Amino acid sequence: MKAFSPAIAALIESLRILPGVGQKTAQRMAFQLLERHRDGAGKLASALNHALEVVGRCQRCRTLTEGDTCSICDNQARAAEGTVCIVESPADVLAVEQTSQYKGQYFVLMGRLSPLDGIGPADIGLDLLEKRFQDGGINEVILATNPTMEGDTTAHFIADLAARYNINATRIAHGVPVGGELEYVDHTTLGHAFSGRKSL
Amino acid sequence: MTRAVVLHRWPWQEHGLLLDLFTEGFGRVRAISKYARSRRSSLRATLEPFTLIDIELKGRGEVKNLARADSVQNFPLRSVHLYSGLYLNELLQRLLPEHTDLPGLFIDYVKSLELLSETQVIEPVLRQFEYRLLCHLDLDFSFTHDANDGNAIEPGILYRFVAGSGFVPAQIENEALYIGEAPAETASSEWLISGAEISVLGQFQLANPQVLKQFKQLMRNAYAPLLGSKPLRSRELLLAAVQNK
Repeated sequence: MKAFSPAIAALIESLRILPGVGQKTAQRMAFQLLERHRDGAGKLASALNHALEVVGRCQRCRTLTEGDTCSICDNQARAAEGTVCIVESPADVLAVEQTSQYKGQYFVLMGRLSPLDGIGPADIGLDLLEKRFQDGGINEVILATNPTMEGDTTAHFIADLAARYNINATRIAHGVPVGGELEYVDHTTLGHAFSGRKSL
Repeated sequence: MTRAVVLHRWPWQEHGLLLDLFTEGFGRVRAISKYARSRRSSLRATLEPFTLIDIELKGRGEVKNLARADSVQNFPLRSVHLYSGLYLNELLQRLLPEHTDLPGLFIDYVKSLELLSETQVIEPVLRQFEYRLLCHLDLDFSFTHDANDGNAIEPGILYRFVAGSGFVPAQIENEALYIGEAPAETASSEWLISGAEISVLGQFQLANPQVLKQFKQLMRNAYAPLLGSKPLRSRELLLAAVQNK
């Protein structure tokens, strides 16, 4: 990339690691930061540095947090609920939180079981989860992994693990999106919706 | 239009999927679906594994473009049945070279998925598929004649199994071993089986637990050199599931 000085080229290259950012967008971002938003760029740089320094994994639920444990794990009222919701990523924690329906704790796998990619139980922290099962105080695990083959594999595997400790395991329902039309829903999803129907 | 099942898929760029497809007529083929992961795509469920789909592929390169995909039939698998399905997929991924069509294997695979989704017992389905896959790979062997000289298998003699060829009489110092003779001087870990038992295995009565157990041993021996030292990850899941029960 001869056209740019080394510092600019390095910045553009660094921006490209972001999802959805290609060469062109990275260039626009880099020029925006250097030309018009030098203050903002400074803030961005220091915020990024600071976050990298202080943000780590929660020791109980593995979500991203500052300090040893996250605010949800520290919340006594939530711990008293005795439920743990299992999700694949920290973004999923946020998604479930936004429903305002769930008042228990979480466990973030930071991935999913995928034998065909060589990802096994130890790679997604199931040893830590099993320790939590052993410690007791949990009466239900809610399996909120994605409705994909890997997500299902993970859910069934954890459900078996929970059964060993006499913990009730439930899977979130899959079905027709609100405001959707049955005609346009694929067979598999509609099949799930039927097998998971509720009496009114 | 070709019938196919997705064996595995990986995210490709922002909205796409790179698919490892097992097709009827072309064998294993890699293809890209550019927008399968975009928010509005209805292809996501269609392109999940364990779903029989009708597809249309375009392009001349090694990696094709998926022009169309319609779901034909879904095989819902749960728990150990799901791990078993993954096991079949892993076997195919490891042993079936790309762009190699083995006529009939696709039908055997779909039949196995169907059985897994319908029946409670999984082991006979897996053993059956393992044997069928060996046959398709031209690695099948005789249950009636030994692999050394083609002599008929004798009920009273002990045999060992040589992967890739078949049963050969177990011998110590050029003497055949008969049932009841402890094979102390051969490697004690070696698996020996009597001619009588071989004949029983050849009848594929996999509903019988004793036969099933020996058939599993046979398949282990047959697959060991094919799979090498790299373990099958789905088998680890199956084992852990059995321990959890």
